[in-house]
Amino acid sequence: MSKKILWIAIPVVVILLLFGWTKGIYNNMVQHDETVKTAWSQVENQYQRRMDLIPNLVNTVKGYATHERETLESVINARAKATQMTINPDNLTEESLQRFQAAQGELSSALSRLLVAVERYPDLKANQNFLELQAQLEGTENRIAVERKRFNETAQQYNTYIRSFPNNIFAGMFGFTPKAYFTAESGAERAPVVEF
Amino acid sequence: MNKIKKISLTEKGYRIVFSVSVFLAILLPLQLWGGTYTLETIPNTRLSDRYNYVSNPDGIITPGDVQQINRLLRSLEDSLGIEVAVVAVESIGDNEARDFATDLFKKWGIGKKADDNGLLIQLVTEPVQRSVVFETGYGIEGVLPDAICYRIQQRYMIPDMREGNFSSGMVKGVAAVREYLLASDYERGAIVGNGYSSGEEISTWALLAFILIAPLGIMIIALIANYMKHRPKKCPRCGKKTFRYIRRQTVQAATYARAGMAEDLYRCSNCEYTEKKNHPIDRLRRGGGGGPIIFGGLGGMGSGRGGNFGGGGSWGGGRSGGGGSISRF
Repeated sequence: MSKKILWIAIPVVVILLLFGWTKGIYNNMVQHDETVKTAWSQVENQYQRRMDLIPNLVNTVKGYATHERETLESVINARAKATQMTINPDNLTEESLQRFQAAQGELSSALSRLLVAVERYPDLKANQNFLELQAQLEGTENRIAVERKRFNETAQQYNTYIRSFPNNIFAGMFGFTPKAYFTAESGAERAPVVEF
Repeated sequence: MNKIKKISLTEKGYRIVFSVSVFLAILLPLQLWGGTYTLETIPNTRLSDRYNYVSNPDGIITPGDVQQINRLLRSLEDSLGIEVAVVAVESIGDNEARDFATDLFKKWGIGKKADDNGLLIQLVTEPVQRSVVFETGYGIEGVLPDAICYRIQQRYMIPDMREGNFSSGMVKGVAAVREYLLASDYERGAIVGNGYSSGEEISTWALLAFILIAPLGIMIIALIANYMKHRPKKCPRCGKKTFRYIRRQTVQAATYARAGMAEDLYRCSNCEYTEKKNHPIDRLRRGGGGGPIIFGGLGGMGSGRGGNFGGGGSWGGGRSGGGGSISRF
């Protein structure tokens, strides 16, 4: 009689333990995943913020720098391209992130070319409105750098979690795939440095 | 001038002066290079004094101006709940000023946790990294946009600082930030009733509760002890529950030199059986016997209170994301 109960009790206990264990791991993965998504939306916010600043900047520059049509157009085009480039946070693969980074990088380099060209117009550089726009742009570039760093940190935590044993088994079962990182900036991607 | 005087005295005096000047010669450059700070070594002054917003280890800001800044920032925190930290150091080594500000903000957690309404104003005076950085918390990026940070720096701080008047430039900048925030449409989270009240208020309540409950607890314990002592016990002779405590008698009074002896008298009201239990009395001490324990307890409470009102504090755990602006000069 008691042996029979034991034969029922042991599997029940084992199943319960297994359930609790899996549940813990799964929920942790979900949590990590959400953290990465939040970090990603912060990154996107800041890039969006930069794109919102650009029309204003372009208009201010246009009034002074009459010979920079080409540079201005390249900024506008790069912005248009970057606007279309968004990533679904469920699909943060290396490939999609690279495309995103390329589009934003093109905008960055167009912007830095513009800021270099602007050096030739002392009137513009003395314009308070332009200086403050530039400060905002600089602040935004800094925000982008910070949020990218934080995104990489959270992505790294996520990746470490889902790749370590035995979590990797469950990650495969439940479809948690590794997230891509932002790679180190190439020369063109670097935020324009502005000296006053 | 002192040196010349001493040298003319004796050979010994000359030696002393020499070694002292060698010592000073070694020390002086050390002093100059002493102002290099890392995230860990910048003193977080607010930890020891809740109303000291200024970390000024190199004395770049004059004591009078520190007081002035603290007054301004305290009134700002009182009215809007915004926490502003001011840091002025000579050098942060090879760190990039802007990144350093972001990291320091994160480490200290400036601003209330629920509102992220912190602001860090960081001044570095060493030539390579010489700059003023504003790092705005997520919650005040809206009311204090980068352009405004930049404008305040350029208008109120840089002109003085370029001349080397770091202290007055800082006061003007802080005053300008405060004015701007007070005039802005920033609404304090505390009025709506979130965040601000959490840490501080809870500990105040805990303290109040403690003050009210502690004497009650002591009274209850005393009552129980009293009851245990006076409650009738079973008489060893007749077996009835009428054996009780009568009184305590002093057999030998304690003096400063030796302990005394008292005896507790128990008697059964049924059969008159009497029992005495000896009880030592502690040797007398200068300054009162039981006093220290009570005063010790009170002292502890006093310092606990100090921790909550006006003593040590901390920043509220706010976050920032690299917003703000930098002006090099």
